[in-house]
Amino acid sequence: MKFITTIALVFTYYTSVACDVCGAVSNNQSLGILPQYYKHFVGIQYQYRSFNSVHPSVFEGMPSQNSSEYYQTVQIWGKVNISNRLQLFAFVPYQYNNQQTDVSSISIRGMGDASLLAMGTIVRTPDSVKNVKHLLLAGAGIKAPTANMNKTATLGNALNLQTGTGSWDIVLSGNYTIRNNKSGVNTDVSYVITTPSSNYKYGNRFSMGITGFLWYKTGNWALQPQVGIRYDLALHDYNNYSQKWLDRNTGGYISYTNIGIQLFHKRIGLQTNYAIPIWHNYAKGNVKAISRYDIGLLYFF
Amino acid sequence: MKLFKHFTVIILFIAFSGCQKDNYTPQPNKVKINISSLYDGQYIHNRDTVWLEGKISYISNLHGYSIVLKNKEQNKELFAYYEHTHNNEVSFKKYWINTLTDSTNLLLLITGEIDHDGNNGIKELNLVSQP
Repeated sequence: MKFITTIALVFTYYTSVACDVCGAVSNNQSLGILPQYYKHFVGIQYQYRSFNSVHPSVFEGMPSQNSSEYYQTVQIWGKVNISNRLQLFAFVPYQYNNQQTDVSSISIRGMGDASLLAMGTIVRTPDSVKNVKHLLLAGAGIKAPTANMNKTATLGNALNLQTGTGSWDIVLSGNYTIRNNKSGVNTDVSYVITTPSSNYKYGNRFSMGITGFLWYKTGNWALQPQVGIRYDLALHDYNNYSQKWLDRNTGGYISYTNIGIQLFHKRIGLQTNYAIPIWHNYAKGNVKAISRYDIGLLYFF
Repeated sequence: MKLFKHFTVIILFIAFSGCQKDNYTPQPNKVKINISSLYDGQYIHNRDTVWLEGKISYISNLHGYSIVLKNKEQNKELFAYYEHTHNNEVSFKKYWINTLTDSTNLLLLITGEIDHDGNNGIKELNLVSQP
């Protein structure tokens, strides 16, 4: 059975903020495990993330401000095979972000930052090989500042509700999969190099994940449960990039463990994933990730 | 071998781009505070609506600002407003109604906070309340 899957060239895009110890850290997403027997696909994905944040007061003797942030993203995305060795991915997100404090609730919605990613096949075991197969992909892309700055979120902690970063970012991505007919392991790495916007520069981001998966197939149906671990690291932001003023209250790491399942039937794919944080130290410990889940529908052609 | 060479170049590039230079030096003297609605030594009278209006700017992100009006002789706060912000420039427009019936000296303090370490720029304005 000719059925090679490409796993999770994890592409990362970010909804970072210009608020040093606010929530809304990185927004990472995985492409998931995608069948390679169709050249192209288009999909819609819903993602939910939540955080609790503490913002220490800048005023002496004043109490800290607590808030909860909820980020919901609906994203249209797709893949086109340009050639046997080159694939193009595009992402167009729409976001609904909400922040709740003891005294207020603010919601911002709008288009996020769109992205384009080109991935090349570096190593691929021929389909004729029956045993262990390898697939190594690597590529790069850009994230464009297509989101509009929302004027209702320009004060205080609400800044982290913006649906985009305002900057052009460069994405480097690598993905390696080893598998046999019934199971496999995928490792993916991505690194985002940010650029300054209005003299503010978000810290570069690194993300790495390892996912183990099983593969069951009956007739036109295929089921793929998976479990993994992910580590996201964000460097500090520059709040005055021309002067190289680093804001050490920003950045940090979050590590998730996740469990997911993918279901394929003919040209349709359904994928869902749930992740909970296991270790984190973000914004000097002032931001705590709560949970993250996503669900998506794919159409292959 | 070629693959290894490419991999090495990418890792070196990532390591280089991950280096973060830090020249941060707080410069509270670069906080500019302009109070447009009042001047130093201004007299205000009982029942006057006193507008506290102006602009605060800094060469980088401000982290917050405060407006405090005090009875200078009693060191008692008559009005206080605190705003957490993350802009290079903020405008403020607040008001206070003078309910004081005695003649007394007041002090208006506008503070622009530039980080979470207590660095700030302050502008003071002396006012005189009269019945």
